[in-house]
Amino acid sequence: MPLPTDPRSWRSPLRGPWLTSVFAVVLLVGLPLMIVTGLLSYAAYDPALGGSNDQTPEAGLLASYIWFDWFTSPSWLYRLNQGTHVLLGLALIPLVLAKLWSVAPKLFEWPPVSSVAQALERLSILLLVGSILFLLLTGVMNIQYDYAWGFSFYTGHFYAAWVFIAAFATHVALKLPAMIRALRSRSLVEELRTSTADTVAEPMDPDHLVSPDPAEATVSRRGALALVGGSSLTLLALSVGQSVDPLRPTALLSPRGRSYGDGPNDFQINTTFAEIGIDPTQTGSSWRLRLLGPDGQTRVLRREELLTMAMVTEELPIACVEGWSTSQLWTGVQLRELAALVGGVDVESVFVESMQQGGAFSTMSLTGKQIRADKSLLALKVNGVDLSLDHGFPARMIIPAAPGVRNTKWVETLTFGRAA
Amino acid sequence: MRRLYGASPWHLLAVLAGLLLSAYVVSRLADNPSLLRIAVWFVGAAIVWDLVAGPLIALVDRLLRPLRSRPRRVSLLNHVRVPALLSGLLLVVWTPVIFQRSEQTFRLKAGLTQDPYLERWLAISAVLVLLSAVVYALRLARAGRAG
Repeated sequence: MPLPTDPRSWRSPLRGPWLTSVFAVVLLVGLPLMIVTGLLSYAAYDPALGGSNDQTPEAGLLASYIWFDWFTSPSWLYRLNQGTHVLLGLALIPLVLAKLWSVAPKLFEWPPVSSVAQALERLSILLLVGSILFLLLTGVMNIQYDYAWGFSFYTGHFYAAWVFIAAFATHVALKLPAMIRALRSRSLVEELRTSTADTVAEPMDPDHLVSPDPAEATVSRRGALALVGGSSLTLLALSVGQSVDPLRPTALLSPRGRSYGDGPNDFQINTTFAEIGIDPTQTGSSWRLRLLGPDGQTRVLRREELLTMAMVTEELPIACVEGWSTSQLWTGVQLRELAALVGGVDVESVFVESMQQGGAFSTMSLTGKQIRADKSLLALKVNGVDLSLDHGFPARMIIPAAPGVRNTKWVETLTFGRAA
Repeated sequence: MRRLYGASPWHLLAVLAGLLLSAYVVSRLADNPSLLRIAVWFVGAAIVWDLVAGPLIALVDRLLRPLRSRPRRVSLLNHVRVPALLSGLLLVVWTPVIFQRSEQTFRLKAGLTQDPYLERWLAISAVLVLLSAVVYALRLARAGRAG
């Protein structure tokens, strides 16, 4: 058997610039969407507030694209953004792997380096392949709570994303003309009509993707495209339910496709009461909400007192960075009403502290925009009944359009005018 | 330029711009103790895919070749390949829950076990195999009628 460095060892008649370019053009649409939704998701934490909001304090210029406070409407914005990021990411896995398969002979090209230009480009390709596989791997593991890497998901995924952005931009700049040329070299309609028996290799190309000694086709290009597309649709079909409430049971393999029951508190939980390890009696009649104002004003409220304030009911989603989401009917006090009690309506931020001790997100800051948004609530009830312990009883934040972790549960203290 | 470098100045510009940005990214992490681990997973992912998973899939595919019976007009090969690939893909993507790798974390986070996932994956795989077999049978029947 010849070594993989020998071009004749690569025998698939399907490999060639046209097929590679078909995968490429789909990725050229999908990957920029991944980049945009990813960067928006990062911005949705308002990392400028510091503390737990900023999971990557060394970001430097890499965070400088965020010149805005995160949005508070439409309330489904983060749900849409993150649902898209995760579902599209899953659907792109077969395309990325197919694209890598289609260019595999290039990896083993011999001699490995023939010019400075080629050496630099190969280094850039290593970063491209390494980063996209790293991003897919860490993303896929993170949505399944498998943190085997031993580093923070935020650190790994964020910095690798920037390496990917750099290498992807270089790759597109260098290869776009070749992709367009290759796409024009054959007709898609014609290919979709060609059977396996009539499938022959593309003409030899300068990039050596085409096999010099092609075997007889065992599948047509139509079949290969259907397989890749079908794989994407299978992954998508088995996951979309994690982000769409009525379809939830169809997300068969997703950790977020499960039902908790039919009760008013039976919806997706992230961080159970058991995890935070506090005594349930602390959530009882001894619980107090402490409000601290920018000029030293203080108010301490019991839950019964909160319930006598003006109640607002809103249907709002909980949307996790992991892509799953669920929409529920929340009832509580507007955050700005609480701010008004201690003269904190016009401040730049509020520091929210949970009863939870430690934990990456037991404290979170919100922006002034979020304090003043109509739909920002300190929720006391959900779907008409008291919150369950797992959903944050006695009280939790519900912030429109914000990532799930900013909806702090078991809230104890709100300090207006302070960030982390 | 072309003789010394091997490509156009535009090529050099595009490559250097990308590499410089990547270098900046790495420099941000220079003092972060996670840098080494991230690098290992980064390079490891590329090596595992290119040098282990890729060749392994090609090898398995080669072993399936005899399924391609030439005299008969309907080859079994793709009816094995397709469900195998789809089932394998689902297994790889959902490995953590299927093999209950994150059982403990998941119980604390979501309050649920990961018990059902292996069964679900097996059931989905069985459906895929069945569907493929049905399509194969239909194609055989049609070829029989035509022939």
